[in-house]
Amino acid sequence: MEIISAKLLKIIKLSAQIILENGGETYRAEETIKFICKAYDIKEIEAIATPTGFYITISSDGNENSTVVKRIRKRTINLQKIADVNNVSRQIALHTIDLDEALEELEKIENDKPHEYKYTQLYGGISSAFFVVLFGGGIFEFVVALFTGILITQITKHFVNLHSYQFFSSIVSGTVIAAIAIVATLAAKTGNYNQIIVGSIMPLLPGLSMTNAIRDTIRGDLISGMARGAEALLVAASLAAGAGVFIYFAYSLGIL
Amino acid sequence: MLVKFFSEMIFCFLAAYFYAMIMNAPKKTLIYSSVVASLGYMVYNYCVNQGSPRLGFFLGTTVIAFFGEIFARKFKMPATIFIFPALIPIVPGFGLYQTIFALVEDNIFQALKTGVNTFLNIGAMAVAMAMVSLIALKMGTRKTE
Repeated sequence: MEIISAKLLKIIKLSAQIILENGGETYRAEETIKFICKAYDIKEIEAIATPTGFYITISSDGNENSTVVKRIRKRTINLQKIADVNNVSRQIALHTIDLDEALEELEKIENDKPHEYKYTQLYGGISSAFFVVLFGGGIFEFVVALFTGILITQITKHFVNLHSYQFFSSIVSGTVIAAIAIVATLAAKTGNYNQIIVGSIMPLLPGLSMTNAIRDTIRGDLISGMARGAEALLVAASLAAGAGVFIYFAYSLGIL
Repeated sequence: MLVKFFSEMIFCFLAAYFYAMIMNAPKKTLIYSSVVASLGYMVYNYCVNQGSPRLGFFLGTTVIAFFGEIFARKFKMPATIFIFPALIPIVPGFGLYQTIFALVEDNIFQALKTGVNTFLNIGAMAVAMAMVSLIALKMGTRKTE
């Protein structure tokens, strides 16, 4: 029993960690922990997950408790990994794989990068370009946004690899977007820079964090709601500030 | 009019498709989440054309969350995978940008007006999402989520 609960603790720690690091909701982490533990008849399970870390206590016999605390530092979005963890937790619950295999699977999910698409930069560019068209842009705006999007995806990827704060990544992206949009429209003497800026910013917006923040608060998960809200506000404000700096600069030079 | 409507749906589909690829969505979900995105955007677009954008945010998100839950059941995957890429075209990015632009122009009144408006629109989206996920939870078929 001892060995099982130690292994189980390792598994639920890893799965909660992957979920929170890759953009899963906090309630998903908590539910996954409970779901896995239920399959192994654990008497007491308490899990508190927030976007910045989680605490789990399990007790297999009701007397001795095991606790694990984990701090979450990097937060990116990788939907494939969330789906994979979901899949593993389902298999554990159905007892189709045992704990050793599950642990191996989870470690593989955490460390490997087998599912990354090639040419993500290009896709980022195409995505931005179509957002611009959606906001009423023409061919000129489409082409400018395509190149802006490619550059921005490259920049954000670089910042993720640097493990830098999201604040800097957003502020640099915002400035670069505004700079390219304004300079390109000025140089070509045609086009609407507003559409290019909005379209290129769209993929970077913390849309999910914003809605999740309010949804978590409605559910009663007050701490994670506030934390997500702060994160969304920080990203949105720094994106806007980055773009705003360049627009202000252009305004005061009188070229806008 | 109708041509514009459908061309916007196609643009929305493509934007969501490639956005989902940046977010590393599983390959077989890409098409479905993009279809959900353009359905939601169609509803949103219709409401905006009728002159009630906030209802558009609410109904569009409801449609997206609803189909997201359905596909989540079908594929046995978390609903977020379908909802997240689909929601992006509706997120009021333009409102946010207008707020900042008004701030840069030193037009505080305009900034407050668009800012509060944007916040309420996001609130409408969140209420829609919370409502659908609550109903889905009460239906009782949800397993891992």
